[in-house]
Order: sequence, then structure tokens, then C-alpha cells
Amino acid sequence: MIGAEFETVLAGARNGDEDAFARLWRDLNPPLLRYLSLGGDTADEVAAETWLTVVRGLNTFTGDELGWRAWVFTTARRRAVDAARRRGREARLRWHASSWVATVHDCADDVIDTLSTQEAVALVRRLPPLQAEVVLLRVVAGLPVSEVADVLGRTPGAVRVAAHRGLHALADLVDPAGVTPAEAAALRE
Amino acid sequence: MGTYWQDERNRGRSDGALGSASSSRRSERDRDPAGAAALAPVIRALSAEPTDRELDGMGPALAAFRARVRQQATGSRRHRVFATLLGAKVGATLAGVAAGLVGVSTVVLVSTHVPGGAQPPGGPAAPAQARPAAVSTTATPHGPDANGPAKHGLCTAWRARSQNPGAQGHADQSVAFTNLVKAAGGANKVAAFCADVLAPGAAGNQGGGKGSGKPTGKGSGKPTKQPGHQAKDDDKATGKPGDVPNGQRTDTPTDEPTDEPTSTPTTEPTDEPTTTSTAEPTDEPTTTAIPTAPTGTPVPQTSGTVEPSQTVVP
Repeated sequence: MIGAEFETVLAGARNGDEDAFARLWRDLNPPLLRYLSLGGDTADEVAAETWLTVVRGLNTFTGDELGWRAWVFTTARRRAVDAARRRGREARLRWHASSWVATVHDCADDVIDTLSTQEAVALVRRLPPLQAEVVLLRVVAGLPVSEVADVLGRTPGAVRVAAHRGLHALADLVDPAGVTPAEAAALRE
Repeated sequence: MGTYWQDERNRGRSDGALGSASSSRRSERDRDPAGAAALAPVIRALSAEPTDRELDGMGPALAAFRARVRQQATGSRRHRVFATLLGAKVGATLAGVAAGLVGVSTVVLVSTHVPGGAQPPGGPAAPAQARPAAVSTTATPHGPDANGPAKHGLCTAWRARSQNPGAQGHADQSVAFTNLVKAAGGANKVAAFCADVLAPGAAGNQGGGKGSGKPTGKGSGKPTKQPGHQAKDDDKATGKPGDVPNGQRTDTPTDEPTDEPTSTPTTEPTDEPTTTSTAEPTDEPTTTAIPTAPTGTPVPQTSGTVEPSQTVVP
């Protein structure tokens, strides 16, 4: 997040300041890539297309930084859907269903503390699509529920439920043995 | 990031009005601390600092950004150019009228002061034909003879126009300038042709330099307006032929150099002043030649009505 300077930076980018634009790019490209890697190998390509669209629409955007992020991620999602369409039904299935799981190795044996970003995203990809998207938009993009709902075209309630279930599922993935209720209660005391 | 999810849990609790919320809330309460603990590394990894790979590849986006900026810049510049062109056109119209008047009057003045013997066609012998020529403005135009006494005035007018790029179109198409170009043997040779006439002036070379390059380009662009301007010139030239030469002549000739520059720049609007104001003063040295022959005051009155009819022929 850029924070208080966001307005200035955005205005600079609008006026053609390359440094300001670079700052916007550096701020959002990493989360964009992480989110877009839900779709597999096309993340870089789709992110580049997203930025082209963002550059074209730079002057039409109005809003604060949260609105900016929501707008960029909405754009990214559209480009991802386009890319999936281009790649045909197989790719679309990969985007929507969990066939990508095949590429994910089992993290159970890994030392969880040294989990890399890529591995974490790979874990998220094992979730059902909506949950995966919601989790990434919430955690990676840092969007509030209402913005995530806008990006995904869902109700805030549905987003909340998906986030809740997704996090539970993720916790199960990370620690398949799970924590028994008794242990949890013990941990709480 | 643990706090982030803490906030999320609190928010879920505060607006957990959903029907299914109660059951999940209990399990959440049972599980979450452990779940949060298990999730912490994942959350941390997901929101980790950007890697170099993720910050690589700004190139295409930046290139698109630059292209857009360039596009916008040219767009606004096009706007500006359009505005200045508009201003220049208005200025050129006024300057054209002014230059036309000056040119006509100088043609009149100069041609009348060339020694009588040296004039082949339309010299002092012409006054007799003057009236018929003025009446038959619709007759086939032949214009002034650029090789004759009108050369000086034509060259002066040509230079005045050539310093006003906007007026080129009119300059090229008028009969007088056509004659001049014909006499010079081509539009780009006019400068050389006029060199000897304009040489005395300090800015003679300036006019020659500009005159050679520009006339050919813009001629086709504005033919429709040309008659109007010519008509305007005609009106003013024929309207007060007696006034202009008389006034300038009988009044103190020494005043002219000082009067004219102050009057003409005020007619120029915005853009032109630097070029035209330099152009006008260069005309004046030609009129300072007048004092050499103020004795011929009777002549200009008659020939003054003659010359406009000649130069003005549309």
C-alpha cells in the first residue's frame, strides 16, 4: 500500500510522471502476480495485459487507494478470464476447477515456517475457486470484503462465507493432522 | 498479519447476521486460535515482501505508459497549434490587408517617381487611359509590369507577404504577383529578381531568404478566401485613391516613417507583431525615397488613380 501519498502519486502518474507510475506498478505488480498465478503459468502474461489496460484507463479512474486496488484487480480478473477463454476450455477448467492441484506437491512435509510465497499460493490454489480468489484478494491484495465483493461480482455475505471457509480449508491443508478441539481449547487456556 | 485476520474475525462477528453464522461461529471459536496459528506462515508467505522476479518486467507497462503520455502531449500540442493557427490566420488576414495597402501605395508612389524616360509601358503617358482601365475592372486582368516601374513596389509587397507565411496563398494567386513570378522566372527566383531593388534596405536579405522557400507550399490551400481578400483590397485601394497619396504627400513626408510603424502594429493582433513589425519598418526606407521627388506633386494625383486600378485587378 502506498498510503497517504497515494493521491499525489496517482496525480503524478496521470500527468505523465514515470516515477509515479513506476511506484504504482511496484506497489501492485507483486500482488497482481500472486493473484493471477491462480490461473497457472499465464500470470506474467495476464499481468502485463492488465497493466496495458490500466495505462489506457488511467485518466478515467476516480477514487482512493482502495478503489484503485479494486479497479486494478477487477481489470486483472477480466484479463484473466479473457486469457482463459483464449486458451480454450481446458484452460478455463484449470482456472475454475482444481485440476491445478496436480502441480502442487504436498506441503505437509515441508517446514512450514520457510514456506515460500509461491508455495503458499500453490496451497491456496487447492481451495475451491471462489474461496481461493477471496482469500488471495483479501490477503494478497489487501481488499476489504466490500471491494472483494465488487471485484468478484458477489454479495459481501457470500464473500465473507467464502473467506471463512477458505481459511479453514487452508488451515487444514497446512496442518492436515489438524488441531483437535480439545487441543485448541488447551491452547487457548 | 495476524492482526489483520483478527480484525476480520471481529468484523465477521459484529455483522454476523447471516442465518448460518451461529453454527460456524461456534466452530470458529473452537478452532480459530489453532487455525490462525497454522495459517500464520501461509499468510506471511502470501503477503511477503516482493521478490525480484515480481518486480521484474515493468518494461512493457512503462513503454505503454510513455506512449500514452506522448500521445497526450501531441494531442494537446495539436490543440495549441490549432489555436495559434487560428490566431495566425486572423493576423495574416489583417496583415495581408495592411501589406496590400502598403504595397499598393508604394507601387503608386515609387512608380510615379521613376524618371519618366525610363518607363516603357504605364508611365506619365498613362493617365489618359486611367479612367477606362478603372471602369473595366471586369476586363481580362494583366496587372502591373514587373519589369517596369512597378517592380519596386511588387518586390516590397512580395517580401511583406513572404514574411507572413499565412498570406502566401493570396500572394501566389494575385495577378500582380503572377506577373512578378513570371518576370522573375519562377517563384523561388523572385528573391534574386528583387535583390537589386530591395538591396538598399537593411533587411533586404531577410526578405530574399524567406521568399525563396515558402511560396510554393501553401498556394493550393486557401484559394476560396482569396477573392474576398482581393476584393477587400480593391475596395480600399479604389475607395480612397485620392486620399492616400495626397495625404501622405502633401503632409510632411518626414513624418511617415514614424507614423506608419506605430499605426500598423496596433492592427496586428497577437502572434504576428514580431514578424510584421519588423516587416513594416523595412518598407519605410522605400518611402523615404519620396523626398527626392516631392516636386512632382501634381503627377501622383492622376497616376495615383491609375496605379491602383492596375495592381488591383482581380
